Amino acid sequence: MHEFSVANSLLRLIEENVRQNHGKSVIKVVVKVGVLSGIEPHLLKVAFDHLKERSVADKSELIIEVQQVLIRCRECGYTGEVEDYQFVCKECGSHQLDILDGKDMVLKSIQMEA
Amino acid sequence: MCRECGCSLPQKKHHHGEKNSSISGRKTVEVEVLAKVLDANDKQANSNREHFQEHGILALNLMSSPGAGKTTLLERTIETLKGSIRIGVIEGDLETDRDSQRIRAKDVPAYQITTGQACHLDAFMVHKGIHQLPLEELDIVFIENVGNLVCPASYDVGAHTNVVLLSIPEGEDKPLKYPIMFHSADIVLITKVDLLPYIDFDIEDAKRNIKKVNPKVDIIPLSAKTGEGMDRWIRYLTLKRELVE
Ligand SMILES: Nc1nc2c(ncn2[C@@H]2O[C@H](COP(=O)(O)OP(=O)(O)OP(=O)(O)O)[C@@H](O)[C@H]2O)c(=O)[nH]1
Ligand SMILES: [Mg+2]
Ligand SMILES: [Zn+2]
Ligand SMILES: [Zn+2]
Repeated sequence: MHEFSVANSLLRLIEENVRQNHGKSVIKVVVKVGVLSGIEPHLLKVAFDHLKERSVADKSELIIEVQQVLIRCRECGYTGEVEDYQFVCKECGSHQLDILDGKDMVLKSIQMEA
Repeated sequence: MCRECGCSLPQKKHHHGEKNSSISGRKTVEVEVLAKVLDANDKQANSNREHFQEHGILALNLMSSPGAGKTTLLERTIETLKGSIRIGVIEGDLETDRDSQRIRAKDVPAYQITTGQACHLDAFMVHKGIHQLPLEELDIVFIENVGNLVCPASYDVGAHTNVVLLSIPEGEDKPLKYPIMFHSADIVLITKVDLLPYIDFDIEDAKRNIKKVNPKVDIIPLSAKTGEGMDRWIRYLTLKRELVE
């Protein structure tokens, strides 16, 4: 389980942003977790709630938005979500797909006391 | 990356930035960040790749479940390439330096990373390993990741090629159960094929399952024990190494 490492990186990023914005305590953190990121939302929440104790985010709430894998077909232009990790175009059967979203974990926003 | 939602679609028109409000009299501010949480790791990984590139080194990241045959494959590969391609190894394990000892017994430089609690290697650990190897004297560096089909897939370590091993005793359904790992592969090695007569493992079914989650991946079935399929693996490595220069 690597969610503790990930939560640790997240907290460091939060602290950096709070400092830059001269914020005080953090109220809410919104992250986007791509299905292909290999990060399990429930475990991330457990790890975050454990590690936040000794940080500026100790009273914050973590909101996790799960992002499905979004592809665009290079052959026919179809854009849509991938189901069950089957990387094939639903319209034309092509394997020439670009992944538009769903790979990374992104810190979207932080609500903090100014 | 789109500034609105952090996806890789072109930026849409919208307004963003700070929103001010107040909750029960306290002043609060919402700051948009849109940064990849593992960005520091990704940057280090890119820098690792540049290190390898500067020395004309091909770097491969070996990933599999525990015991799928990563170290045995390395031992065989080192023996076969002795005298033609110079190899170095970075070994990742939770505990012990047994694997790096096995590699050093073949007269090849090996650096052991013991990760303790961490179930994967990250780019920073590998960077330390890089500087413990005599890069000027090497053509290929193998990074043997911690045996684990889940966590290592989340971390770019700075290799050129991700190699995922699937051994016959694990069963042909593993690519469907661990799709993220198999999706991250550039090449899948189906290992221990000498065991096919003893185990109900449908190799065509396994290939179909791998291609479902990763249609463009290369697949080589092989046995480090009997040497079957090893010639294709060696040709693959030799060509990949030539292409780095
Ligand atoms: N029959 C057979 N056994 C093999 C083959 N390759 C490896 N083994 C055996 O599988 C076991 C595990 O092999 P290792 O090479 O240590 O596996 P590993 O992936 O490095 O293991 P960890 O580093 O602990 O994850 C050993 O007992 C090997 O002898 C093979 O091609 N055929
Ligand atoms: Mg090993
Ligand atoms: Zn893990
Ligand atoms: Zn299509």
